[in-house]
Amino acid sequence: MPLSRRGLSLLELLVALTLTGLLAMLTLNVLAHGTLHLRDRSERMAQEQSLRSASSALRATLESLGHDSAGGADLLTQAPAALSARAVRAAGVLCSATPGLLVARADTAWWRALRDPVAGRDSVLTARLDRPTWARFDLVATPSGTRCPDGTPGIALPVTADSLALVGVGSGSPLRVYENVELRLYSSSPDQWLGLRLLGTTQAIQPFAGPMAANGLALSYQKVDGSPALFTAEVAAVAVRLAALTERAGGLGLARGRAPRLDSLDAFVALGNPP
Amino acid sequence: MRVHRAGFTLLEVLFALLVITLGVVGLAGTLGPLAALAAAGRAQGRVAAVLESRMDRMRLELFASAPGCVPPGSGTQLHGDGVVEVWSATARAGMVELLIAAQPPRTGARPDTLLSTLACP
Repeated sequence: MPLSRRGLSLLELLVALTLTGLLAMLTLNVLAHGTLHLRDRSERMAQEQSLRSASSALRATLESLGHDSAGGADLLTQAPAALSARAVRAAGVLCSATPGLLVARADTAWWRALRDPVAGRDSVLTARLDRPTWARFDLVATPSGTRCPDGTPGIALPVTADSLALVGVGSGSPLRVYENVELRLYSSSPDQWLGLRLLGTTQAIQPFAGPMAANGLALSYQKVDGSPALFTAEVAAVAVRLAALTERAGGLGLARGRAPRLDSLDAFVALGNPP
Repeated sequence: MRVHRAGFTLLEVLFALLVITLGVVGLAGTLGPLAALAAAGRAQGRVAAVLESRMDRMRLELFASAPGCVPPGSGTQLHGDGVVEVWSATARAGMVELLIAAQPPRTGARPDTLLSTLACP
């Protein structure tokens, strides 16, 4: 086949360049908006996840709280944007109680634990069988494996308990291992975060949700009848309002300089054992 | 041996570019359904939060009626994020049946219902 050596005219080239330019602009425009949209959506999903995490953590902390005349209120302090409480780390049933040593049944049907109990950090609440109250003891040494009086596996929990304190506590007493935690909004420049601090340790507060708005955590404490509760011993429920922001730090291109977006979530949590 | 030197014409190249552009634009169009799914997920989360909160309110209301067993009242509420909830309670042989329904603000998300039974305090 003879090869045509005729090239392109200037007009043809200009038309081709113009068409190519238009197509490139269209593609760039669509991709830029798509990227921005995707980024925005991803930030909104992260924000929603933050709100859900915060709500779940508050619910998990508050739902297990209660109050009785001996152990006092599980809610230790209350503030508009912070609270501290006993957070349950393990629960089970005793098979024996002697001065200085509690033994819990270790069988999985009886023992449930988020982690192993830690001496110096955790305390123990055991229910008295002769009256509806709890006795509180500090865990003074590392728990170890042992046997219950009936020969089944047990967990030995060395505690500060004399025979007087153990009146009413014995085999069959429910047991809760807990540590004191603080949950609050705190500032880590330039953002606000929702964090958890373990009060029995020297560990700094750890963020678990955020960034939050300046008033990103609002807690309203209520009595059983719905009126405001002024003291922790009166608190039966907590109305929670969470407000989170989207992250916009270091935005690129079209995303640069966009203000963070605000979203909020309301929840109402009743204490498991209200006064 | 003669080498075949015929390449693409300008028209063919332009047509190929047009096809590629249409492909990219079409791909970008799939972001729309993704956004709708995310919005539906948010609405579904809000519905779950409303159901949980109402359940706790009704449980507390029942607890407040102790030592009696007065079922919590019925009602309807429109929340700030557009979720509409309807709830009712019925006493039945020492128990109280709770029925809570929540309708999300967007059609992409499904309405949800919670049916539970509480023992009289």
